[in-house]
Amino acid sequence: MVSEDRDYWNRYAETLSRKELDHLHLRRLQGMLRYAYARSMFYRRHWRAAGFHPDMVTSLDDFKRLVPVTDKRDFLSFQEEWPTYGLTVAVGEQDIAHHAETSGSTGIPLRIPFTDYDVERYGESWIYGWWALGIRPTDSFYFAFNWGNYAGFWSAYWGVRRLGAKVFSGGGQSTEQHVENILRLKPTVLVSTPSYALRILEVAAAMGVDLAQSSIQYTYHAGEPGPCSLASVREKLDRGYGAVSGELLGVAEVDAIAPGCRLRKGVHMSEMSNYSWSMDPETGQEVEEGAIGESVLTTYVNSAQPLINYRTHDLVRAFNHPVCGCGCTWRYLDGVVLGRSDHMVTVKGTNVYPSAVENLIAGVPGVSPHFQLVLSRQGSFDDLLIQFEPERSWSGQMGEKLAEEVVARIRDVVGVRLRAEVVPVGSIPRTDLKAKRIVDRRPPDLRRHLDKFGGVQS
Amino acid sequence: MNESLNVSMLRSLYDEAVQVMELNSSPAVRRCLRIAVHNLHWALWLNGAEPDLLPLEPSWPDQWIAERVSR
Repeated sequence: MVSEDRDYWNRYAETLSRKELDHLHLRRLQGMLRYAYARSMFYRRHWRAAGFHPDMVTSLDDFKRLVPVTDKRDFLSFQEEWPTYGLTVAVGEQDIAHHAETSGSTGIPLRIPFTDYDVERYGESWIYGWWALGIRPTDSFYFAFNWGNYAGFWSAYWGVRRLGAKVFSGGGQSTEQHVENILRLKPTVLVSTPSYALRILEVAAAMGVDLAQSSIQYTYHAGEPGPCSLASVREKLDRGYGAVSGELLGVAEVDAIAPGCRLRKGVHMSEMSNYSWSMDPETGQEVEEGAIGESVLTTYVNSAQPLINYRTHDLVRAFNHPVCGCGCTWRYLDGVVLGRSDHMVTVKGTNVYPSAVENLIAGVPGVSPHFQLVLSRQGSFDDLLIQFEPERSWSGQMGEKLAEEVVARIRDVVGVRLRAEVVPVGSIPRTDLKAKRIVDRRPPDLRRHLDKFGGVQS
Repeated sequence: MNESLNVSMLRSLYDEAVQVMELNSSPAVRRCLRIAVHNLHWALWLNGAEPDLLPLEPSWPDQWIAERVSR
């Protein structure tokens, strides 16, 4: 009997050389192309219109250069025209085992079908990150999450089932009840969005409970920038729970694409379940290793609705030869997601990515995790107001100085002077899902247009 | 291919599970075997040795899609 590997969930796969990984990817991508061409009306149309056929791909360079990219807007458009899944589906209704949706920022959610096999594989991606951090089948997971249609933490649940650990559902519970449940059920792992984990700490403190003394040994997060993206969030979570925090990057319609890294300054892509490369969003050309580009993904684990050369609009600094030093050879995203290529707004004539502003605000000492960017329209331009709550120890005059610091930090890095406003502690709404960072007060017609067609409408 | 595991044994198990599933008429037993086939295929995949993209042929997209689009 061979003893179980202590360091890797799958040492063989996680330590393959780049050459071996690329060899596997080419074979699997060719299989996905043939599968989608045979079964998906969407891909047949899309590729024929571009003069592409799967037989044209004989190398990874061919794949990146020749396969037309796809975008969420393509899928939204077809789903709206031919509900439920439109022309993008590749299996019959009888094989769809789980239906999920994206949140739909303008009220048009993307519908995501999965087969039973998709679901089993999607969940597994999480385990690579958990295992690297030290989480084992003997652990017990508490989900501070109100399930719903969102794929994100459903996939984490599927992952726990595959890992063989115990599940405690926190569905339908208030924040106070989550605190009580953690004390009563004694889980060892907390799963939630990072901002909600911080909210639980806040409520626990108000209840006189120190969760650093609780059973929690690990916290794991997804849905927004977390402990592998932002050192300040990592420190707050680690200290608050007396635990080790981790982060997974997911794209709901694709996969739990990047499960984490033991060293927590970035995340590794799950190269058993997807293939990715980085594209210059302006030219469509591949960017060099280590340069910032948009992550373009192909998943092997969504056979119900294949996503091939799919634009995520996530701006990443990726390394096919990882620089973290943890030992895993899978593609590494330093700092996780650095911004979004599609959420650009033009403020005072300067192009601004709100997600980049988010990352800067989160790094200002004294600014609490509770802040939002209020977008409005002034004539042909967007206006961006930053509202934030200070840490409890900051107040009054100190809060005003903090606002000046936020404005200066953004001006120095982004090159535009935005307005920043201190708001009372507790005034920004809390949620158990993703924190609502961007409040879009631009006219609904404009927002709908941007969601469906992209670009900036003047 | 992963040489440290006996991948050929895994492949034999997979082939046999597919065969047994096709020969069994009990929905309950077929379901067990379907899950086993999925897992064996994934185990082969994780060792870089999967025989095909998918273990079992899924159903085709519903006919109505084809009808609507061909109009």
